[in-house]
Amino acid sequence: MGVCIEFQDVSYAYPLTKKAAVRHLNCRLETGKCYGVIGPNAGGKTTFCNLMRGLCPNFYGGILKGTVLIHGKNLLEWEDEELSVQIGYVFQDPFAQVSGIKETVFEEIGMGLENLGVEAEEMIARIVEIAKMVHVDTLLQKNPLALSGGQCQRVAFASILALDSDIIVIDEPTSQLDPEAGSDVFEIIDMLKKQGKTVIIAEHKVDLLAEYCDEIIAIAGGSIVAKGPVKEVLSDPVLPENGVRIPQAVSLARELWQAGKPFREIPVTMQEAIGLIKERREGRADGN
Amino acid sequence: MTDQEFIESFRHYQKKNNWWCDFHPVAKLVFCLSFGFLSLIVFKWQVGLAVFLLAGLIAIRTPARKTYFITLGVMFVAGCLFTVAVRLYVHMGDPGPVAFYLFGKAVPVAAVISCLDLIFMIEGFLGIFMTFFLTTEMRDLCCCLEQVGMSPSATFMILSTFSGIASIKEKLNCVRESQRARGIETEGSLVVKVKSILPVLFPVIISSMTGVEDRTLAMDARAFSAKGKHTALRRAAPAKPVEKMVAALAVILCIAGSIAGRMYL
Amino acid sequence: MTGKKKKKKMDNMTKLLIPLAVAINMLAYNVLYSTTMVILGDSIGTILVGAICGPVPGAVVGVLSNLVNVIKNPVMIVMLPLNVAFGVVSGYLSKRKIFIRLWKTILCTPLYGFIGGWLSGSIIFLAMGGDFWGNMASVFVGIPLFHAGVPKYFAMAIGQLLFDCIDKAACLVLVYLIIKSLPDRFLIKLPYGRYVTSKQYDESEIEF
Repeated sequence: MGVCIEFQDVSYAYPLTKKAAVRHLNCRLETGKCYGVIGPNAGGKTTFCNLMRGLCPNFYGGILKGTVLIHGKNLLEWEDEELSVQIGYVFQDPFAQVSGIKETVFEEIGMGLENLGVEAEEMIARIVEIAKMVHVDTLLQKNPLALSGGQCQRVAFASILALDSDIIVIDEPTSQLDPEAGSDVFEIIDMLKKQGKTVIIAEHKVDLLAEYCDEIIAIAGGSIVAKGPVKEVLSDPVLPENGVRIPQAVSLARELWQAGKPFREIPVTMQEAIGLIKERREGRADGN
Repeated sequence: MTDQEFIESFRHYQKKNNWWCDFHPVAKLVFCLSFGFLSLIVFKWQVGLAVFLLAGLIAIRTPARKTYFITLGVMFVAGCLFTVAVRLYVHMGDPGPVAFYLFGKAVPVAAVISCLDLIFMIEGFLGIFMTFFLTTEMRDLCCCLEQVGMSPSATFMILSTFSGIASIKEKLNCVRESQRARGIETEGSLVVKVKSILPVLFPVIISSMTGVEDRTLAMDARAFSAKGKHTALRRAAPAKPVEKMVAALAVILCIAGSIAGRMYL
Repeated sequence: MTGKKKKKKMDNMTKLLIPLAVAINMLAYNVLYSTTMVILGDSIGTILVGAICGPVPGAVVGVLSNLVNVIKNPVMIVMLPLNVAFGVVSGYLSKRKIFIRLWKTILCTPLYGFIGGWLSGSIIFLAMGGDFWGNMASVFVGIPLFHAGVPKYFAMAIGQLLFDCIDKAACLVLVYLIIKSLPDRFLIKLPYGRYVTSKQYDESEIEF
């Protein structure tokens, strides 16, 4: 699989700060994989996402050292409007993503396409398709300003997905949503993964990430502390040392290990943990 | 409207089934601007009255007639009467032929006519503009302006100005309610009112300004700054030759009328 | 190259700030004028955007605010040059770093008062066919002065000027306070941000 984004010794400082937000980042993101970015607050997760999208330093200003390569081309050489089509970015606040000038959800989703100059017939077809996909097809005639947080976030997803970017960066999509709406968001992410898109999610809900992602990048204190396949990273003892939240299943395994009754492997999702516990009970039953 | 019908409506030009409402927005704007300015430039009650009657005739034939006459009435009472009262007061006792006596002072004919001029200038100007604004959706106007060659970011600014006013008012009421819930006096004397309003006004302004940052990024994510042709989902019919002609005639009439009015009235 | 790109991005932010500033104008007018009857407040947004984004965006806010007013009261169209002037003047003052200090800001009141008062007085005088408009300034200052023997035009203009200075002083103080309350990291992204913020770091000072 090809590399779509590459960080080469990237450091970045926001303007008006004396301390760099991220330091010496080195990593490669492969096409078609789903990456989960975890880490404590103010650890550099959002900055990491912003760097990929070119918002740092193009929008925020500040000082960038090192190179970020997107599809092999230096970030600073990309035209900004081109980059915004290449990389879809869904933001944290659902309500800030409503344009406020469109009167129906249908038009709201179409706004990006209008900007790209897509013809009306194609636009309509695309909006209908995307709306079905993210389950907003019942909201099409509603005013986007009158939606609830979860609905709003889904509309925001739809507006970005309509642009059909290959890489989609999602910054804490569930932080302002109730748990149910949160899992809805992850369903959409699962669908994107199936379509072969590269998805990068910064998120606190490690349990959900463990379920849906291929790889995990843990960022703390402005540097990458661990990167690799989900299982490997989440069971790495370096995470709790750096204040990164770990899945409940891993904590359980750790507790059991300390109590002298370790699992034969460390589970990362609840499903796996349940499986291991069942296995152990059956094993005990056999032994008896 | 079912969802299917709703989606279908975007495949055709937008229609409202009223001749004036469906009049091409830009042509309509030119028409109304011409007559509005005719009334303003000539500044005589004859012309004002004519424009006012024209506006009334048009308004009666649209679905917006009720709002039109109510708003016009309110504007008349609120704006004109006060201005007229001031005018009459200033001119009271001026020399010249007397029209009538008010509180024992002579009101000259010239003052009455100047009042009439003012009233009908305002009413004519107001009336013709209201026939435009009450029957035209901003988004349709902007869509047509874009067709004529206005930049999409300019129309975006116009549209979000109108939606912004509504949303900032909502925000203000929200903050006001919460201040009230915390027990801050909002009713009472002037000082109390001012004291209560500043802590409301300030956070609303600051928070909506900092919110712009997130919205900029979100707009940018939707290729807002993309170069090249923009298309529109909601389309308006292009101007018919008749509509273009009406607009052109209105402009000619405005210029000729202004010159003639200035010279002969 | 990055400099050029940066500028483009900021323009987008300005594009979104302009409609907001118009809304602020309307809001401030509604809230302040209905309670105080002296302070109009309808140029706060214009001055603010002029100060943080530059003269051109300021002028655009002026035009748009005027257009919104025109819908409510079409006669207001004659005030268009005023609103544009406020925006432009604020931009130029801001470039001279006026809005960093409160006393400098307040010292500019007469300038705004002159534009708002004298110019508006003259425009009203012309538009109303050489007569008074029925507003507070005319009733309380203009007409008494006129009755005291001052020529009509000057009576009108002085009345407007006095009332406008009070209004503009209040507006300028509010604008100053708003700029002070906005976070620096927000201001720095705007075209004129560097003229209204004081602290900035050099590359060498940052620890990587």
